[in-house]
Amino acid sequence: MPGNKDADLILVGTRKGAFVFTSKDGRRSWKMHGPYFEGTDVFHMVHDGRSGTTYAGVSNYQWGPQMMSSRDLGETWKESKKHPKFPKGSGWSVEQLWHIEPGSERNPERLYAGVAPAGLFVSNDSGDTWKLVSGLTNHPTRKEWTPGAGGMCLHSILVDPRSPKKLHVGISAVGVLYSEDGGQKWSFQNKNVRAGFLPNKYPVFGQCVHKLRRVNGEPDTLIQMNHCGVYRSTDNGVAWKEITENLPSDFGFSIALDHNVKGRIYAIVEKGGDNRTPPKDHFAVWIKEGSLPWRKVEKGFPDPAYFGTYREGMASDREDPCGVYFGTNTGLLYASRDMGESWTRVAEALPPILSVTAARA
Amino acid sequence: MPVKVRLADPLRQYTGNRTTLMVDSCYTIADLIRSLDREYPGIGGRILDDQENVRRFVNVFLNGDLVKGPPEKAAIRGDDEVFIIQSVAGG
Repeated sequence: MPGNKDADLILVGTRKGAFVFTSKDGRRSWKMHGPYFEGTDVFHMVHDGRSGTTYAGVSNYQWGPQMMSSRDLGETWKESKKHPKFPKGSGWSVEQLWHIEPGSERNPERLYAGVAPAGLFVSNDSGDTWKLVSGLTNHPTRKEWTPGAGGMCLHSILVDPRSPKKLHVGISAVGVLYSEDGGQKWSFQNKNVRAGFLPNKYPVFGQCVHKLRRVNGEPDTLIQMNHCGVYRSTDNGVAWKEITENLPSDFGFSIALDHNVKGRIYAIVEKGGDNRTPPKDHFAVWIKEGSLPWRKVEKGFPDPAYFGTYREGMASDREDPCGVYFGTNTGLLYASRDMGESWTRVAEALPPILSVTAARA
Repeated sequence: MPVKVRLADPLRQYTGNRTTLMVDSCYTIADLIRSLDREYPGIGGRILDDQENVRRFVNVFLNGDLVKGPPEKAAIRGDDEVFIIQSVAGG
């Protein structure tokens, strides 16, 4: 896509391919490019600002997963020489590429990938080759881990901006794990997080984290959307406090954080695990700042509404004021350029949207 | 004698658009796929999973018969015809 330098980007992974939306007028209007990998699940796409490379986790249910990269915002794609792959004899095969996370600024060629069945892979050559982080796979409790409805997916990866060896991952339905040594040893970080679907409501692991994020500029503050509520940790995940409060449901997938206003959270909730439609059939984006209660923004959305969003379905950008974006499982794509206070429909006939990320090229 | 290999359309991206190939010196289906991967890097990973079993939704036919079991144990010889295609999708 020549000519799209200095453009704002929305990268959209869907059930039937990937799309890139570009804006060159300050996020007022968007132009669609794609589809890429037409007909195939794209669980996640990310634009790595360090190298200007776009990565896509392409998961073809017949021909298997492929890690792809593009240096021209999707016009051409290159396949990894060595995809994320479990070792022979392990009994596991990568089924889907769920999440791609650029490493820290200190390791400009490092990337992480989260896959199903729960596995973490690292690349130190900008995605050309991938190696299993075996410390997680060989965790002593691994045989006791169980999947959520979407499979046992490793969907969230946080690299501590203070130390690239400090990593968090989120796995459904295992919970949050933390490593201080680059992934050799892992400990659970699920204290005070409810697992309402288990006989023991507060186990050491078995929680169904749906999405895990870190607050920009406040690295000890983590936020998670869980199968059983929204939680905040202010001690880098050691303990959690439930902040579901006045949300109309404790079940949701999508959550995003404001890049500039610390503690400003955007969330979408659904009726529950067995009915993933908006509470009372009214779709809303819920916003919370600090200790204030959640408040809803519903103007501009269809009403009544019966769609939902997935765990990678919401994102924020790094502009000021912060832009927020989400895509629905019915193919609607929305954008806000004023911190979630008003919304514009960017696209309305996409395939079911699996992931949304935002960046600047 | 070479083995004739016919590939499903989605695999053409690896073979320069060719869907029929002749492959020499293979004694099993696993040999054949390794040989294809040497010639067309990446194609092996589309056919075999991480444990080197044929992917769940990929079918390999040998002279018209579906190959069941590990590809290491499926013997082939010259003049055989191998057909590699995705399994039927839909209801």
